[in-house]
Amino acid sequence: MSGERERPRPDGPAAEQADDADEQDEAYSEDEEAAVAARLEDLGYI
Amino acid sequence: MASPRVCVIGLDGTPASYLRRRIADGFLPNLAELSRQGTLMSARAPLPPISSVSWASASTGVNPGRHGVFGFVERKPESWDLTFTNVFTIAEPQVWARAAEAGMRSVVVNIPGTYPAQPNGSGVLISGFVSPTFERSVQPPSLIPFLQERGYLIDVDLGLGHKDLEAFCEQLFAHHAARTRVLVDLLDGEACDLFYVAFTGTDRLHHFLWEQMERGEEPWASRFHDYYAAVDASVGEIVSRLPDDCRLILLSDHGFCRLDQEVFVNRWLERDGWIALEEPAKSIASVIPGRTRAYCMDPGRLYLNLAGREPGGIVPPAEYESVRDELRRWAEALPFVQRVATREEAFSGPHADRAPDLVLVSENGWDLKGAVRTADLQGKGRLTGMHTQDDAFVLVRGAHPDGEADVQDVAATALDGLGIDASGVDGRVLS
Repeated sequence: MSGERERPRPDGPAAEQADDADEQDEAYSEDEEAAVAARLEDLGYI
Repeated sequence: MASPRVCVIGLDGTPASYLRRRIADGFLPNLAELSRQGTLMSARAPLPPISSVSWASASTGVNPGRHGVFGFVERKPESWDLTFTNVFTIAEPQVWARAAEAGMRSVVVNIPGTYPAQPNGSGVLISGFVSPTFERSVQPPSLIPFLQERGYLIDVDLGLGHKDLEAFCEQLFAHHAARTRVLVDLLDGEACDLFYVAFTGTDRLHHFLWEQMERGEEPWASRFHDYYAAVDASVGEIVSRLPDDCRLILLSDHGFCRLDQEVFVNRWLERDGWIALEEPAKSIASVIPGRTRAYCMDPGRLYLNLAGREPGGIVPPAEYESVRDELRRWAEALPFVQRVATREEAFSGPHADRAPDLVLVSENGWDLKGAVRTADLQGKGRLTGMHTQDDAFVLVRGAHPDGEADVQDVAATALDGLGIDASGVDGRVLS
């Protein structure tokens, strides 16, 4: 989102992909993931 | 008087054709006036035309191959488990981040895909769909009491739409009134250079009431049009507070049409031997990799089960092109497919290597789904409206550009209005 977000960018595409995945995982806790899934299901997305 | 140099107002999923029809019939006076001041352009969404992807383009100015968002759901690397896209997925700076870098202040409200809310310089950011907690949706958090006092909700209870349409509509209207009050109070109280907000109740209204509106089925058709009257009034309230020289941009992130059938693409793949699933299947994690050559992620993203990329992938990289051609021919023969785009045709940029191998664009009425919970090829539930790639709209006050707009033009036009160089983005400045 923002220019303030400072995140280390490891070298190499695999390391970068792993970094992105870690951040995505951090975005939602397990409880939040369940809530997100329910809302997406309500609109037919999953 | 509020101060923004640029104001962007989104009406999620509002078709250009609906606005033109209602304006021609004498309704929506504020939007009618704006459509006299600037051309109400038809616009095209990126593929696939869903809010997480399209708002990322509308806020960064680039195609999904650059911003990296291809859906609400992705497969985790090295796994068949699912993960949900979010603000960290967006790999390009959004307009407000670039404004902050240039020393400007922004108020950003309800833009899908911005959860969890990140500090927005000295400005404000309130996340939009999908935001599971209020606490992590608001920056700075000191604004939470302000929002609670005004009865602000991130979203309506979508489950109500499946159970009780009347209660759903009531909540939709109340929610819209609260959102408007918050936006007006923020505009009055927060000095900013950029005011970038979205009304997303329109999308919810369409999902549950589009067909009823088209048929003139009461009371739902009146509820539908009354809701747009409320949206029009809210737009008027916001616009009345803007300086005359503020660059005002309105948009929708995709179009909408009637939903006739939901199509469960993985079941069509299964029927024709492309995929095998453990039953009862719950998600794509139920796939049997050793018997799967291709699978679908919502809404119509097709991927090969490629060796070295998917866990247990069985399509050798050397056969990528030939198998993808075979899959493309299979998809083009399906009765509900309008066209099939390859990754290279639809996307360009550093994240295009994570894009789907093929993207299906359906005929209107056929809503593509990646879900596997049902064994049926197709069906219909309570949802009566579906997204379209075309028939979105963009309107820039005072501008009369030729041709069709692209949703990504919104960010380019906003950057230009802020005096920030927009030459590095994919969108064009509409002026």
